[in-house]
Amino acid sequence: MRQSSVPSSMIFLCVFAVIAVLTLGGLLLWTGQKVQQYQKQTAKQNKDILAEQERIRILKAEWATLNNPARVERLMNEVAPAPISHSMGEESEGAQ
Amino acid sequence: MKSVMHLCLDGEKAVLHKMIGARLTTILIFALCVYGVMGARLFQLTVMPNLNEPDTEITRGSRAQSDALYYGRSDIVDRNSLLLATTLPATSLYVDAKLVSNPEGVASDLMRIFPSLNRDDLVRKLSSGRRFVWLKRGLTPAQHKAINQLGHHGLGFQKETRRFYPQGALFSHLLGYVGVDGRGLAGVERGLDTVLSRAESPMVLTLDLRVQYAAEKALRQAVERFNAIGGAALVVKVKTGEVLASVSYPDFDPHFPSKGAQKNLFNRYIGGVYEMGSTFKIFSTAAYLEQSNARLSDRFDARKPLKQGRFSIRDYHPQKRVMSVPDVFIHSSNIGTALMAQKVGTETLKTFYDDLGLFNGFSVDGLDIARPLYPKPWRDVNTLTVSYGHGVAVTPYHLMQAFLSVVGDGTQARLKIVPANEKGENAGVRVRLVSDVTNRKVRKLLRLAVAEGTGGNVDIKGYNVGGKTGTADKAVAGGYDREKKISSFLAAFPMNDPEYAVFVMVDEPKGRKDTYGYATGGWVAAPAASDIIRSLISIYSIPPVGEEVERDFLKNIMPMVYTKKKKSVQPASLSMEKNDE
Repeated sequence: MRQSSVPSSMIFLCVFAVIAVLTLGGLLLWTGQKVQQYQKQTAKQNKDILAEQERIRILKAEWATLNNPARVERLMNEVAPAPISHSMGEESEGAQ
Repeated sequence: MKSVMHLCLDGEKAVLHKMIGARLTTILIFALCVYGVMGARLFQLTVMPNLNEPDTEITRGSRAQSDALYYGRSDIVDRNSLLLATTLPATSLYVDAKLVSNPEGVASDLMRIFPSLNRDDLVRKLSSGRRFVWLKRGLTPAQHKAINQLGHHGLGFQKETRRFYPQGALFSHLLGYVGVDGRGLAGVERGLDTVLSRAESPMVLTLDLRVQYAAEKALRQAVERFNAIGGAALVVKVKTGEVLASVSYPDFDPHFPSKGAQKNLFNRYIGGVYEMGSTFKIFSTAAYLEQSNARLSDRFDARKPLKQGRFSIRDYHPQKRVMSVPDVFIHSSNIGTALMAQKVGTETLKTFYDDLGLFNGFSVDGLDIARPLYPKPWRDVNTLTVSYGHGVAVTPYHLMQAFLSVVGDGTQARLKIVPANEKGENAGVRVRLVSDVTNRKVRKLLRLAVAEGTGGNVDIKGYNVGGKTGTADKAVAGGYDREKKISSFLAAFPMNDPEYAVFVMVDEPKGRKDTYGYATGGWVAAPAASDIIRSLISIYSIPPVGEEVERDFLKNIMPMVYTKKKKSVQPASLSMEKNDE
């Protein structure tokens, strides 16, 4: 009679502990998987970022080339062929 | 546990049983607490939304990796962050010759994509049997694609980087270029090579793309108009010494520096030394005015050539009269200036020139400026000739730096192409070279030379522009060549408080019909300088100081200027052709 007198609270605690260990183990495994998944994702995103940065670099260089003053001036003269002249033009010197 | 219980079934052992039960419970609760903490932390790390990634060494490392795409060399940008030099990814083509079965066929296909390659050379490389031979470096994406479409075995690609200059030849002399290995070989690329290959952020220069373009255009027009062999132009901020534009013409394509003529690589503003002629009168006049008893109204007899031993100093267009200091300056009289130098004395003048940096090579943020040439040994006659710019050959950078020292605030100026804050440099105490009084007098003389004298072609109403022309015969073996000239103009504005300084120099200009055969500084360089100043005014929206300020500025000095009895004022454009030295 007394042999079965292990307190029920003890049994409960033991069972609870086993469940807790299993749950936490599962959680850890899941976390590990997640970490691997994220690492793969990060690596891919880093690669994409590098590719984007490379493209941005090229586009910046292209933008700078297309906006070089000589070209802008030429285009402006095509669109509005009466430029504002800053130079002391031929007329004033010819008058001397 | 059971065995323990058997041992203590009865009697007082029940107490022990209870005790053991209590201990077990305690241990279990403790273990559960630990598991609880672990569980909570796991829950926090996995399930809870974790938006802020903790800032640890590891996360920082991974972020830096993705942020800074390492290209081995930082970009170069102008003062407005406009791109001047960058590094781009490039693909290069190589061949593993062991894998090529049909060298002739592959060569023919490649020749269609790269017509510039040498066919025999290509076949030799393809059949060499070596495992790695470069065929072509720096492919365009289109060429890359075309080769992939050929599908030949043995051809491979290697990713490389290539330096690219979006502004083409505009900054070629200043920035220089890099070799195949990416090391800087000239200009800023060489001078700041270690900084450029280390830094990740773009390198900021003091230059302004717009001003550079305006200066280049004005210079190119002057060189072409006067059929000259080249020239140089500088634009500098007077107060800080920051270089806004630095042009040498002819220029070259920095992507292929060896393709053009070798002489195009020559940098006239830091590599070439020239006898500058009358612009040196600014310095000798300043040296004279620094003398304690010197006055602007002092008289100098320029009626006949000045004899010194077997030398005789003449004026280019003699005024044949006794002249005041302003007269000497605006008519650019060699005799008058030499007489001033005589009063200053050899030692004082030499020390002053030395303080201005006119005898030494120096370095501007990594750019090495050539060493000047000056008379060794220095004879007494050299004091006289050097006073009007004959005998000392300097680079345009020397001239500009000395000019800033005199017209700025009178303290020793330093040119720079990298902003001071970029270097975290302490400005420190600057050495005073000329007094405030002299500084003001020289500024008035410079204004007078534009308003009344040889620099008339540069005047822009209301901007109080001042400057001095210079024309010198080029030194050749055994003397001077009268046909070959260096014509220049050194200007600053507004003279009441100078902000910008401009220098234009044209190498070997030839006279034209519409300049009456003249190719002097006033005819050649002054109009170009005027163009540059007009561009500066519109680029920076500089308001005029007004004609009243201009008039007031010269009020005290005007009575000392000689005017012919009948005509009260000589038109500037007429006096110029006669009086330029």
